[in-house]
Amino acid sequence: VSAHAIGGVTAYNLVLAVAGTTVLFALRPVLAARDFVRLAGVSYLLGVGAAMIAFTTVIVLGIPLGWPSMVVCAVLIAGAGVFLGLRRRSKDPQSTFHFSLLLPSAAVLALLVVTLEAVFRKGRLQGLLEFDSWDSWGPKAKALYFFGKLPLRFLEDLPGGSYPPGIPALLAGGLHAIGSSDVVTVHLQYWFLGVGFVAAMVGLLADRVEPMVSLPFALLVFVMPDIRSRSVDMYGDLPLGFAIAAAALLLALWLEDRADWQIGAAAILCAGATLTKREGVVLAAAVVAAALLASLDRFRQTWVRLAAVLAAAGAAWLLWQIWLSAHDLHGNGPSGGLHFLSDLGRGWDALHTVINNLFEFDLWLVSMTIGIAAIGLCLLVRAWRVALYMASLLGFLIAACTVILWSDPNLQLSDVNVVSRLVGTVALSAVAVTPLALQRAWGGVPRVWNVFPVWHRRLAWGVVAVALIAYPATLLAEGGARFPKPSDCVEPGAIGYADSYSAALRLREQSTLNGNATSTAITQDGCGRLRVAPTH
Amino acid sequence: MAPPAQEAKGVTGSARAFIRNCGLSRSAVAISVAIALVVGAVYYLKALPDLGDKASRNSSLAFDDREIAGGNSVIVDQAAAYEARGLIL
Repeated sequence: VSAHAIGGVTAYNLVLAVAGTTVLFALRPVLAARDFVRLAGVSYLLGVGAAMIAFTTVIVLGIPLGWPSMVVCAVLIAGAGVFLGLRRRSKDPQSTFHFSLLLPSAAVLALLVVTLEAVFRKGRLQGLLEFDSWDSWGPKAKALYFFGKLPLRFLEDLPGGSYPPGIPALLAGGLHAIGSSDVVTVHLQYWFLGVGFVAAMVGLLADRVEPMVSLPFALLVFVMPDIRSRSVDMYGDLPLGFAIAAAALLLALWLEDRADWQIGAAAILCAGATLTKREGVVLAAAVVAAALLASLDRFRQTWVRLAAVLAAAGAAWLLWQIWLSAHDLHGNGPSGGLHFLSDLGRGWDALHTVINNLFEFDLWLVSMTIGIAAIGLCLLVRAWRVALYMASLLGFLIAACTVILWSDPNLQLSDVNVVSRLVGTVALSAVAVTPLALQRAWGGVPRVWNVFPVWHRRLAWGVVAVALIAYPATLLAEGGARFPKPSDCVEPGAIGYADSYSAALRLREQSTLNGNATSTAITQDGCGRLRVAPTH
Repeated sequence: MAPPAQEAKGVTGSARAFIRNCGLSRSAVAISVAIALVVGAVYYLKALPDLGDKASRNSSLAFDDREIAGGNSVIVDQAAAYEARGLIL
C-alpha cells in the first residue's frame, strides 16, 4: 500500500514491457523507433505472454520460481529477442506512420486517459474482496511468492487448483518486485494489463483507422459497466479477454497484411491465454477458426501459419497437463468427456444465456449491436473478408462460450456473474475489431491532416496533457492519495511490531516468557508490518 | 486485401451501385461512431463517480478487511485466520 510498493510493481511492468519490446524486435526487426512507440501496448502484452510461458516452464521443470529465476527468465527473453532481431534485420528501418490528432479525437483521448487514472485509483487499495480472489487466485500467487512452487497438498484442496499458473506466477513476480506479500498493491497488475490492452488496440489501429473511429471504442473498454466493475479484481477472466481480443485484432490485421510478425505475436498471446485459464485454449481455437474461414480462398498459404498459432496454444496447454499428470493431479474441469453432448436441452439454454447476456445493455452497452452493424456495413461495400472474419469470430466465440457453459453442469446458467465473466471475452473482441470493420466500411485509410496549423495540433496534445495532470491534481488538492507511514499505525498498548510472522511469533513467545500472561494476537498493522498486541 | 473499390469492380462491375452503397455505408458508419461516442460519454459520466466511490470505499477499509474480506463468509473471524497463518509461516 506504500509508494515504495507501487514503485516496485511499476518497475516490474516496465521490465515486462522491455522484454516484450525485444520479442517484437525479434518478430519484426525492421520497425522504426516511432513504430515501437506506437506498438508499446502490443510489446507489453507480448512481454506478459512470454513471461507466463517462461514462468510456467520453470514451474514444470521443478525449478523454484523465486526472483533469481524470474530475472534469468527476463534476461533470456530479452537476450534471445535482441539476438534474433539483429540476425533477422536485413535493412534499415523506415516508418511511414503519421498520427494526426485533431481536437475532437484529442477530447476522446483525454476522457480515456482520465478513465484509466480513475481505474488506477480504484486498484491502488483494492482488497481481496471477491471470494475466488481470496480463495484461489490470491493464495496461489502467495504460495509461489513464499515457496517458489505450488505444493501438491495445497493444490488438491484448492478450488481451481488445476488451473494453469500463468496469472499466479505473474502476480508472484509482482509481489517480489513489491518486496512483500502485499496482496492489495499487486492488484495494480490488472491495471497495467488493462492499460496494455487499450494501448495495444489504439496502437495497432493507429495507422489504418481514423482516431475518431478507434478512440470511442477504446474508451468503451473501461466504460462498459461489467469491465469497469471487474477492472482490477484478482480473477483470470479479464487478462484472458485482453489476450484473446488482442490476438483477434492481430489476426484481423494479418488477413489484410499477411505479415508473419502478426502471426507470431498472436501465437504468443494465444499461448498466454491458455496459461491464464483452461478455457483459453477453446477461445484461442475459436479465433484461429475464424481467421481460417476468412482466408479460405488462399487456404494453401494460410493454414500452416494459423495451425502454428493453434499449436502454440496447444503446446502451452500440454505443458501444464504434463505437470498435472506427473503429479497425479486431475483437472477439476467438467468430467465425463463428451457426455454433455447428449444433454441438448442444456446446450440450447447455454446458447440462449450467452446471447442474452451479450446483448444486456447494462453490462456491455452497445458493443455487440455496433459490431453486428459493422459486419452488415462491410457486406454492403463488399469488404467481405473483414465482414466474414468478424462474423465468424463473434459466432465461434459465442459457440465456445456456449460449449464451456454446456460442458460443466456445476456452472449455473442463472448466475449472471459467472456468465458475464465468461462472455466478456466476446464483448472485448467485438470492441477491438469493430473500428477496423467500420473503417473498411467507410473506405480508405486515415488522412494525414497537414492542413491544420501547428498550434491546432499542439492544442490537441495539450488537451490530453491537461487531462493527464488535472485529474490527479484535483484529487491531491482535495487531500487524496495518502500513503501510510509505520508511525501512523502504532497503537497504544501493543507489545511490539515485526516484519514477518516468524519474528512476530518470537516476539509473542518472548512476551509470554517475560511474564505477560494475557492472550495476544498477531494482526496486520495496516502499514506493512505485523502487530503483536493483547486481545481485548 | 484489395480496397473496397477494386473488389467491387472485380466482383460486379456495377460502380454506380457501389458508390451509392458507399454513401449509405458512410452515413451508417458515422451514425455508429456517433452512437458509440454518445453512449461512451454518457456512461463515462456514470463510470467516473462510480470508480471514485469504489476507490474511497477501498481507502476506508482496514488492511485486514482488504486481505480477508473475500473469506468473511467462511471464517469465524479475521483474527483467527491471522493466528493460523502465524503458526504456518
